[in-house]
Amino acid sequence: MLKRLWERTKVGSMWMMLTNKRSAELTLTAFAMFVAPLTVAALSDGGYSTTPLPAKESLREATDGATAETFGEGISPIDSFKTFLSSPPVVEHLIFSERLPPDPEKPWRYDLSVSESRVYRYYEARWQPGAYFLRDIAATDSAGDPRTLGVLAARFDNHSWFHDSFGYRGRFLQFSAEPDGRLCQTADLNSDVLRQVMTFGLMHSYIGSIRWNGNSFRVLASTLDLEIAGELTPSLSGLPDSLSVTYTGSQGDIHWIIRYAYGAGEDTTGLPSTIRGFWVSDGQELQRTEFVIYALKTRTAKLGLEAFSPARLAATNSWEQHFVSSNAVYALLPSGKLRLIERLGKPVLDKLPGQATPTQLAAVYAVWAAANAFIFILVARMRGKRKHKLEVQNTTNV
Amino acid sequence: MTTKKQLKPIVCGLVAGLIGVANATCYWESSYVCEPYNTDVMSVCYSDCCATAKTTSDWYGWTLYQSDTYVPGTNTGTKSVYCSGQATYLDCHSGQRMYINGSVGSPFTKVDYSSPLCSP
Repeated sequence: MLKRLWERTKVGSMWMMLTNKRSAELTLTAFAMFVAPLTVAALSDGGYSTTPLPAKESLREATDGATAETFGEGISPIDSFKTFLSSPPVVEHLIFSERLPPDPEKPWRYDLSVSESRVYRYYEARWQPGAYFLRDIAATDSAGDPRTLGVLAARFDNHSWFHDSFGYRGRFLQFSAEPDGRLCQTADLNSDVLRQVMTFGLMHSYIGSIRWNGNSFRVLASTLDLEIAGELTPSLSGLPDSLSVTYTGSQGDIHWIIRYAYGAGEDTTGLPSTIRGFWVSDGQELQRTEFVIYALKTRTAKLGLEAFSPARLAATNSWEQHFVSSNAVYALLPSGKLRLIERLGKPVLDKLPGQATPTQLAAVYAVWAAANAFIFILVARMRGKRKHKLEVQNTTNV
Repeated sequence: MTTKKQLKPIVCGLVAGLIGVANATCYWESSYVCEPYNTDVMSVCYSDCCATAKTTSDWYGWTLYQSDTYVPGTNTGTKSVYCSGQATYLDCHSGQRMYINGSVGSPFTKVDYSSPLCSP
């Protein structure tokens, strides 16, 4: 009975409101300017083929008719390869796979080559200076499928997006407008595989940061504190055959060889379709990485925000949209308002069903205070009357 | 000889209130960032070197909160926290970036709904 009374009077709800931080609804006009393009943007991928293509055919697709220019046209395959690494074109469409370690529970094992693995991740990507888009897809022909099975990381200038299907994270898409904020860093870290493919297997290297001196190269910008340099070896047929790479850091020199393969038939682009990375230790080669490029479409003109914004994917996947600032997370409500849902590491608890509104809270407290005041007055008056009665009796007795 | 002692109204009210609070206290679970991006969460050691694995994104965990409002289907009855996500480390021999899934804390245990404290 007491509990029913408790619930009826809503004091339980009030107690929670007093003891927990309430969610706060915020309207950030400036932020709406950022949200607006997200809500109207549509991803312009309608023209892409969803048919799996052999790598050779895909590379032929690299010609963008609108730009009337084929990457590598008029130069040798070796020069095309070098140019792609030092000054890559805008990549409008890229489909590739990554071969995962054969023992996912123990990826560090040195006794297994990645060539023994039968597990792959497939990605759809776009890239241009200052922008990228990368997401997991189910297969090489799944670019048109909005379902994202793993990670989505994207960036366009100062805007960053990140989604991960891991557990609770699968419910929402995060975005941020802080150029060096933690979400931007998260997206950058999770797009490492795109950098590795765009640098044809080099690790820890920023795209477009390779400089050549003949067939020797060095990396100007490493994602880590490393010096990276190496040598290109052409094949007898005039195609890039391999890169010998040395990574120099606090651990000393680490040596790798990256070997390239091409699709069947004539290929003049010099862009490989298969990239295999071998770690060289004590003269022994152990294959540790493998990427296959299934489709690569380049262009000269830059792409707009709509090519990198995952707004359409968020809508079709019904992801909540969370705006991440330096130390807080806000949910984007359908009204366009933002609601604070978390300060970093400290959840802001949502209002629960049946919880009192501030008006109800004030009303109940007013009634409660009035009742207390009424009882106090009654007691005071009763005591006063009793005292007066006793005084009268005493006077009468006297 | 028996004596009758009358409880004062204010004492009765206090006792009733305490019983009401105790009877209405329940628990519910909520997610939050339990390990922010780029936090050290574990070590991967070989015979001659160790690498520190850092989170590749904010890890979300579940924790327990108390309230005096019962909300069907959301109450929990144990105070465990489970925090999991992906981490990355640099292999100290090959220099390769590796990815592993990890967790901090004990597996989350759902509430015992038969608990009288949390029954509707």
